[in-house]
Amino acid sequence: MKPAKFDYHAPASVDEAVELLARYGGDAKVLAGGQSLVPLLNFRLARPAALVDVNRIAALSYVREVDGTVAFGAMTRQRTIEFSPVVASRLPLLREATRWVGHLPIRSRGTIGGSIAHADPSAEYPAVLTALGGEVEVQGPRGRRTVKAADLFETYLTTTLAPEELVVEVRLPAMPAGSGYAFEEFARRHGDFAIVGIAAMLVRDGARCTSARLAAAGAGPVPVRLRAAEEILERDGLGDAAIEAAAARAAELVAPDSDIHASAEYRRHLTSVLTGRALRRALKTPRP
Amino acid sequence: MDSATVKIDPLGRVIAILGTTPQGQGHQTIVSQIVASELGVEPRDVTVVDEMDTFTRVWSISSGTYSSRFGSVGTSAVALAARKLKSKLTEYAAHLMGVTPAEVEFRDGGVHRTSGKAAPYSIKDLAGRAHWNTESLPEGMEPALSATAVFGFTVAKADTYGFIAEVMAVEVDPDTAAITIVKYVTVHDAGTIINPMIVEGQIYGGALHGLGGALYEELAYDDDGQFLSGTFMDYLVPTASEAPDIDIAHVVSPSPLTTLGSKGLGESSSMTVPAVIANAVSDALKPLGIGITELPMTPSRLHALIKNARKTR
Repeated sequence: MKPAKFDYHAPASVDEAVELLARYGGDAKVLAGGQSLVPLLNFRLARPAALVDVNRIAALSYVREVDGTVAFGAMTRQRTIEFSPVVASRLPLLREATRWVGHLPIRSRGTIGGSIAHADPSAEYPAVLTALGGEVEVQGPRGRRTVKAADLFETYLTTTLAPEELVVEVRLPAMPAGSGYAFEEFARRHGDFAIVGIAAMLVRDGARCTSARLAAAGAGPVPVRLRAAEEILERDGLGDAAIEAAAARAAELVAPDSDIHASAEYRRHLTSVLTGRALRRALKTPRP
Repeated sequence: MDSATVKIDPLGRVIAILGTTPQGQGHQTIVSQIVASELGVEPRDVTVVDEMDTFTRVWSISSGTYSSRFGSVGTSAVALAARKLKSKLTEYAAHLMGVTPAEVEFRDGGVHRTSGKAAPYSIKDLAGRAHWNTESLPEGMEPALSATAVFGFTVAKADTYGFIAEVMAVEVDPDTAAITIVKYVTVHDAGTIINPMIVEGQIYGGALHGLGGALYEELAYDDDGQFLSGTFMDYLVPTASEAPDIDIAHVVSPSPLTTLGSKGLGESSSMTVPAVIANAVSDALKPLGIGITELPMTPSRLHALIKNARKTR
């Protein structure tokens, strides 16, 4: 199929892009890597009046570490992230999650800002952003603001951002040295969106767990931080019993829907199974 | 039934015209190979016209490439047409040499005297003479180096069945309901194997098709009759990433009913894979008393079966 007719703009700066978004008053879509938007256009599930192609804004592509935070330009490609030395050493959880994103050609085009702004609850990056408590910097007609992960996702494919706001940067706190991590995912085929995915990070002090981070993808309309499960680990440590209790609790914290690929009950069950697996693997994979 | 025409142009180029149209089964490769082998030329010397129109073809109800019929019926017509043409070339060359057809033989892309030192006639040479010098033809021989054959089974129940036996080992993760194919062996008897590479491709394709039906592909509707799997986002087909390693072996018992002894195997494992994987999964889940009776075995469905079985035990 072919998309409905649309105007096309390829601004060279963020200011210009935001101005265009404001001009169309919510009837324009931002084109980043296009890996989700273009199929939606072709199926005519999305029929925007205009596309604002931000691929020519070179200033939106970078990976920088500043004071314990890793900042990504919104247009940084997933393939760049997969091979970034900064990501490998500071955010190995993100690197592991990236390998679950689609296939190589998809990762070569897909961007971190696009994936997060698209807000597919089954996608890997929104889950990592949620688990690690990251934030995004957005620019709108009235300037810039910061939106925390917990305040960003509203429902399926919908963020709390205004239509004329553009994600310009994604920031994730560097994982503490020695922290364990794992991204577990179950999908029907290699490269498909997750039926359920679990992002996990554990910070340990001897037998104690000083901080646990868990988030689920695919288990509801938004990525879900599994705070009550994290608390079990922070309180009871990382023994088998605590991990099993946290995994069981995780299933109670999600509200998945049924669709053609999986029943709600199965998704809930997978949330528990994959949480247990992610935690057990996280015990064995410390960040350098 | 299927028809084929093989002809030679004035410059000696061989052209084979088919009565069926391929959708990627490799007709050009197979036909150029058969005709080249029959006439003693190279496959690159044979141009294959793999298009089809009942207005222009001899056999007007030749209906297409399906039911593995090209590998048995189509190839038979091609080989027969090539043999007819070979016999015409032989007769013509014998006439030019002034001997009987019994005193010449067709080999290495030309017609040779069986005894004596007379120079052979190559196909190219015969093609030029037959076209530009039609009075050189023996009395009663039609001009044009062209032969058409229509092949059909004339005996009732004279179908050519291929045979398949398969063994598969799987692991089922009882927690996620994921199925992993550990080992898959498939043994085929497709009669004479015309082209091993194409046969391997057909088996992989058939097996993946079968795997699609067993694990992924479903025309799903909701309770209101709304179609749910109308795009490839929801109608999942296996991709290269889902392809297992396949151990392939052959038993060759040529068919007495086809020209080359081939039986065809295009669809082969697409029929067996759903059965073999469902049996393997049933075997893996035997301790839970589960037998698979419904396809596709989606993880969600398999999970429900495992969960119910555990509840009742």
